[in-house]
Amino acid sequence: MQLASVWNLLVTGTLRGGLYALMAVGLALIMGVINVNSFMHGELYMIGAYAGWLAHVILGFDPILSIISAALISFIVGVLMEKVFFHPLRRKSGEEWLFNAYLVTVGLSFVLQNIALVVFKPVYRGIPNYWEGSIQLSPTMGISIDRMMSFLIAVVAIGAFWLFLRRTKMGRAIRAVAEDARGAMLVGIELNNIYTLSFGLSSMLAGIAGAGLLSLIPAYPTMGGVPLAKSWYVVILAGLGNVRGAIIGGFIVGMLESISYYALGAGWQDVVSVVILILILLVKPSGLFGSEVKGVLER
Amino acid sequence: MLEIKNLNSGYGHLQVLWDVSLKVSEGEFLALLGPNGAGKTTLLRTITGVVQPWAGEIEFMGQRIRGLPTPQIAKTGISFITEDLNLFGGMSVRENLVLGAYTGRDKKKIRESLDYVLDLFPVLGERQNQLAGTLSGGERKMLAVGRGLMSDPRLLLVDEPSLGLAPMLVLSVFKALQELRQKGVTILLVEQNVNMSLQIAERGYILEQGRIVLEGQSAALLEDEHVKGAYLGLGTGEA
Repeated sequence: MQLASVWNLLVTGTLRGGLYALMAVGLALIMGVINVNSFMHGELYMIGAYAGWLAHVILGFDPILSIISAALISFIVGVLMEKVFFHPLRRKSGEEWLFNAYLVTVGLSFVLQNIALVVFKPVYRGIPNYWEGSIQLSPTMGISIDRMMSFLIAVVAIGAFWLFLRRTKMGRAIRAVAEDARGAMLVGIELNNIYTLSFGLSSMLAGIAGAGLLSLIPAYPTMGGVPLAKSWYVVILAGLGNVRGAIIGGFIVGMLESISYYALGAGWQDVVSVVILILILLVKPSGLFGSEVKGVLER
Repeated sequence: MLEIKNLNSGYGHLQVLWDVSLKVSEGEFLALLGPNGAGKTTLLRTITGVVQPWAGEIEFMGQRIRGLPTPQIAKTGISFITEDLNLFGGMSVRENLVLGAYTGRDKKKIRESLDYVLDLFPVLGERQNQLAGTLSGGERKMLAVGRGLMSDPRLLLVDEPSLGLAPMLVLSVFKALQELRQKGVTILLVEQNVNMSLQIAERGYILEQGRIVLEGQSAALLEDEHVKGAYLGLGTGEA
């Protein structure tokens, strides 16, 4: 195998890994904290992409500002979704919460896709690149600044989020609610605020993914389907609700897909991925990093 | 300090507490005793809002807390050490303790509370960075009590701390509770271990089948015929 191919493989794998990690982390967060099995996560990615497009192409913001704007809009959308749909639903659902919440996300996914279809039309809204130029390490090994920046943005976003969870009071509170909601209440943590914040953060991360990769993946109403599937795949592989696992898992999956693509060809990526998932679940049903098979209802 | 009047509470359609009234005075060490299933845990849960009461009044420091959500009740200065402990298993001992002080703003005070708790339970200091889920049963209990103390509570509700503990550990937990009493913390202890509880508490209530059946100073309760027969194994053969 030539060095150039290996290089391309690494670059693609890492970039994909970054995307998958960003998406999966958000999904793992809301599964762990709020017990929402979200099937609308792809649409939050889509909203981020359109927001980034609007900011950069229509309003002319520079790349970084566009992505930050998209992040803010995604966060606000997430907060609104939680307050308008999930908060009232939780009060009324009781034991049927899991299923009800899941259904609501499916419905919202459908609605959001169609709103995008009406507003933005079935036209690809993309950009050739955010940044010009490339860095050449050798005549056959180069990387466009655009791709490098996309990756860096993903890494910074994940890194910042990780630090937030580990080092800040709010981050600790979020982790506490995921560990033991009653214990969290007993130390004075307002659960509703945590739920809203978590959903907002989860949406924000998906939105950063959407806006950050706009130059590679243009905005389109149904663009959320594949990222949704990949997010779920990573989360199942890593262990449901496991945030750290989602990050590592995202990169593993990204690299795995890239290797399959180069070794076996385009059609085989998903086959390899699913086969490996099945094998791992046979041996360790709780996922690579999951600690035990704890029913979500047992939290 | 805490006044409960005619409290009725339960789960779903099952009523557990029937017209329960009790008082806790500031600085007291009060024991709430009774057999399994009497409703002791339900009473603590109702006070702290984990279970919403059906009827009756709960007043803490002159403020009506009945019907308030649990986090708000926690903020009034009531700390509930549950039977299940409700620890944050995937987080370190230190993080659990720090979270105990979640409602506090004064960093210096929180630092002082942490030092106090680590002094009270030295083993927690040794295992500061260990995950709470990996601690032994006794250590977990100590962590739960320690976490409850981090908010510098006015009233401590402790649910069956001796359950499942080796006798030596039971002694150290009770010793810690007594130390707290010296510090001025009001304690409501729920226990099945009647003998030991009445040795350290000043006053007690006996709850049976959701109703308060007896009340009095510990010394008096220890001499009471019913208590002796039902709980201390010193019956004379009569009910």
